[in-house]
Amino acid sequence: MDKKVISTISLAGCFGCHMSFLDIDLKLLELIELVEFNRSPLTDIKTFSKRIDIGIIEGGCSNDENVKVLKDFRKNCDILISLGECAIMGGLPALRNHLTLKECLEEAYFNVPTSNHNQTIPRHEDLPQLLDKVYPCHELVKIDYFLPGCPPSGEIIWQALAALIKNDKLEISKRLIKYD
Amino acid sequence: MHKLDLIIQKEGNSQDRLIPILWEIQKDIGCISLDTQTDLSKKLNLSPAEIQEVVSFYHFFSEEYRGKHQIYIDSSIIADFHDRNQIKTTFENELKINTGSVTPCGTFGLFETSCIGMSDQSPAVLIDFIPVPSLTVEKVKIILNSLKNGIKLEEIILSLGLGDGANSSNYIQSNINNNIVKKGHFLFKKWSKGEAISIASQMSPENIIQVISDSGLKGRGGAGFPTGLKWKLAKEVPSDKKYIVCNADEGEPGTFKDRVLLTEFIGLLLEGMIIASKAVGASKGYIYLRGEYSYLKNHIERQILDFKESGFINSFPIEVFLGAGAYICGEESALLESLEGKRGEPRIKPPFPVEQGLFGCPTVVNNVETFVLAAQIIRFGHESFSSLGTESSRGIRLLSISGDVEKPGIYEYEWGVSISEILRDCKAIEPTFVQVGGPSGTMISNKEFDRKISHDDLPTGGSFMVFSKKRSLFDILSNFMDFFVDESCGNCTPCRAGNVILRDLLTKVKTGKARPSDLNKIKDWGNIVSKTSRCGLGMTSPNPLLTSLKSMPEYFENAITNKDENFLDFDIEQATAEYKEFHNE
Repeated sequence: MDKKVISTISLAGCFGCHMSFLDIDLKLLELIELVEFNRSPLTDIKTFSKRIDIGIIEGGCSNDENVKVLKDFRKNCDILISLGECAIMGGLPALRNHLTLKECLEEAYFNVPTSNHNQTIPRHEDLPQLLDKVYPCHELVKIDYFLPGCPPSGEIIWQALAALIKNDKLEISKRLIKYD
Repeated sequence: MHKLDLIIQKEGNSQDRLIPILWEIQKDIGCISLDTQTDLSKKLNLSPAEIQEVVSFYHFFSEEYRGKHQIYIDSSIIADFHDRNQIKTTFENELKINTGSVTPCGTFGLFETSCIGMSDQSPAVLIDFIPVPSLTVEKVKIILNSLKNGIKLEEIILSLGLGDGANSSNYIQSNINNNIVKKGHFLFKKWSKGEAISIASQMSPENIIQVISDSGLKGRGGAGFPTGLKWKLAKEVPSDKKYIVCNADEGEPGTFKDRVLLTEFIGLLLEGMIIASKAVGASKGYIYLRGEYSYLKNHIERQILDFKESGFINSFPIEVFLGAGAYICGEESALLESLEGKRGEPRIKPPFPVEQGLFGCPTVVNNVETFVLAAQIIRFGHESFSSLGTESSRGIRLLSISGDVEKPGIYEYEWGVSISEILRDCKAIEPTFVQVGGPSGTMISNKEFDRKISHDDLPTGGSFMVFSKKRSLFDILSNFMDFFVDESCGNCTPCRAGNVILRDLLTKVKTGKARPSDLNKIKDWGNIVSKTSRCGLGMTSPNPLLTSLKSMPEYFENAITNKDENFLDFDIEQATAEYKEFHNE
């Protein structure tokens, strides 16, 4: 069997989902027999060098760079997975959706106790432009699968990947997706 | 004495008096502030949260001040199509405020509310909870100027001209018209006061129930439960106390037949309730009157007093209880919760109200029209009714016809009448869609006008809205979805969240952003919402979307131009506009 090609990315996320991915521990050895990693923070490869079988997205879209990357992933991946709360629903970053961008930036740069009073809000053409709010990935591109959790456990990530690679039906026990 | 004490002294201090008490405070002060709620909670021996959860539930109660004069604009689709926007803009311009706010001086508050039962004379508003229909820009200006000059609303209404029938009587004095267009041969038979009661007094309770059962009368609220069976079930439950409740919370957009029945047939309604009380052995009756019809309260109470003086209701007191703006209270168990002074959230059934209804006692809840028809059936015998209509749907049905027709108003039909016959009678203007049974009913296209009004084809609670070819299907559906999102009580997730999801999907279709797969999503979510919601609201709210998708798929398919499922419409320019504006770019 050819090795499946996997790419991952963290958009407006905290890398917690990626950490959880690494938490599959010894299964990593099994996984590396089945897949190869292409563009991903895990490999530090920044561009796609071939067609991707499975793209894994952590985090929602908070700025124009996120949008560009997400679309690039959709273009290059056969299957796209939203991994974790932020990719699926915006997560913690989406708390700012109740505020205007102005309120949000002024709070972050001026009003917090740690701000120094000469502070300005940075703006440079190389800096990504913030969106009016944080969007979940499926509002921009088609997402094939959703793996919930904050973060999803290593076990759920492993089971989902194994099922996709082996073309098995995924049956996740309730224990793994029960959060209350 | 403190005002609050006076109100409580008048109404009593038990929880079931909470809504009447809140009404008095809202009308008197213009709001029910948190401080007032805390005071009230001490006096009623409830927790502040128990007061707040009720205040926040009903549209007409508010924690924030709503003005000396509270104005509510009817936001029904029929009003939308009758220049509602122009009226709204006139109010906004004259008062120099946006809808949803109060003038700086606090004199006027301008808000929106769901259909107020005036679709035959749209656009309409509630001013201080009194409906003022058939508005024009000129009328709005006259009304506002008069109010600003301190002229009383009653005098303004008098100067606008009183309506027909009992609307001009001393106890109503409104400029609403009944608009009774088609009188049939059953309901409109001349009333003679007390006749039905005196016939029933010669009958045993079993006998009364038998006659009602034999007539084939089914509940007129929409669900169509056999009335005789309901009464029989309530009779059979042993209990010292039983209640008869008339559901006059006519909230289905486009319906107004109960408004007319309450105006012109209140005597027959009371007789129907009294007969029901004899049949089931009930000791008290309530008329749960929607807040929007509070202008009819004096009229109804006058008739009750009249019946009392005539000796008809010695052992069966009837009380008029005012709702406070909540569509869901038309659902019988939500209505009972509301009568008990709580949030109008539907109960889980069983037990059904006939077993455990108001205050846990067996209760019959029937629609206004059901009681009126029951009284007529007792007068003229079950055959006079069962010989009309069809096999599954006996007797007659009142329709409230509105929309793009030359003659909106009340029509009496035998069940089984075809849509095309109705459209002919009301002189429909280029009819293209008809919404039968209100937003919770069925949307049909002009290819289906041979269908019939009956329980096994097109059941209806009485609303009949006609839309001409110049109306947009998606405007209509959006208005309905907004309505359901607004009126969902929020208790169960499928209804609370599902209706928002359905509305979002519809917006995608309407704005040309949908993809072919979205149509399947509408069907899937529609099924989830209708199959898993707790009460009739969520069970029926997907109906207009699902029925129009079924009968007119071409409208939806034509609205989808982009078939690319991978990349959805996302306007990056718009999404970054706020950021650029912040940086003055």
